[in-house]
Amino acid sequence: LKQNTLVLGVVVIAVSAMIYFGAYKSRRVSASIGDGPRIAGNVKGQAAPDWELKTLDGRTVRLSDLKGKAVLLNFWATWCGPCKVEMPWFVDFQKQYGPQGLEIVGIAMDDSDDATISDFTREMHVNYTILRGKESVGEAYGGVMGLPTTFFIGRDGKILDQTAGLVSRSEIEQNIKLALAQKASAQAGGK
Amino acid sequence: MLAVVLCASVLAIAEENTPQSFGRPALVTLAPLQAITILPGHTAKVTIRFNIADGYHVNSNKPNSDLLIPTAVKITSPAGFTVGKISYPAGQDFALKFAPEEKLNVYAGEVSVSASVRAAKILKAGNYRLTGELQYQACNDISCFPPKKLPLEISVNVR
Repeated sequence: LKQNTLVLGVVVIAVSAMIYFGAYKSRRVSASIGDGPRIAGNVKGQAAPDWELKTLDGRTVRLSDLKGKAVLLNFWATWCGPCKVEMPWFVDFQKQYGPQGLEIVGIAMDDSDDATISDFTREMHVNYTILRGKESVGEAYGGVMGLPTTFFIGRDGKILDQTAGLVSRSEIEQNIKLALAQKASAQAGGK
Repeated sequence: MLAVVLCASVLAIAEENTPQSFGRPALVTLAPLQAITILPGHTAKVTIRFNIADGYHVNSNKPNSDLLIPTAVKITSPAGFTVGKISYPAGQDFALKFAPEEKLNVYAGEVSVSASVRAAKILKAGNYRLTGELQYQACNDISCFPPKKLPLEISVNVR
């Protein structure tokens, strides 16, 4: 009986520890997620979650402001070498496809101050919107594990594709063309 | 039953404590830090060894751009100790496939960073602890991952 009591005690302690650490982990994960809807699983075909972020000069931009446009949403950072490679491509794409309704949005995910990001984007001749990122926005899109990560959102507000890491210029351009080809819908714009 | 429950508990704790446990293996692993012994008034060398996972690299201590986050070791010493120059290995040049003309300077594989630590003459014999951190920012050929800091703790025995 004494041995059974001891075993039972150990089991109770172990189960308590599991529950405690499970709850602790759950709290930590929840703390990093925004309050809005969050994509789980494959992002393709899902409505792009709306977000509200600030430009480097303090202007507020929402995805829903871009309703009816094809959006290339690029998560990047100044310390990310591969991100720097694709920025001149984005500059070209914004020039070429902007008049057709493409809006490229770069979400800066680094801790650098506004001036550092601004200097960097000026040096890279960036002609598209740059916003200060929040981890919760990446989480809302299913989690951004590395940079660059890019989402291609059609005119209908749905995510057409996602690329993790640097891909070829032609693959990006192909996705832009597909996003522009989507017809806008009444629900478009990340609602 | 008991063994299963205990194993599950241990795994839950281990996962919680694993750096970069977002579905990815740790990209940089610190080797266990060796304790050092110093005589008062003398200097000893501390070596920090770490391994970078295959297929990944971190910026060297002198990357070729101010914007890149260098690998850096910081050691905070308690009163009576002086941490001297920290010596980093030379990095190797590396270029991304899509930008072959732009050379980065990186570490890959096994890396050793060393520092000299001096104990003051007046220091009493005993066990002491130096703390610090290893800062790095890892990438592979196509992606970069957020900068990380791993804590360092070095045991020092003063004789």
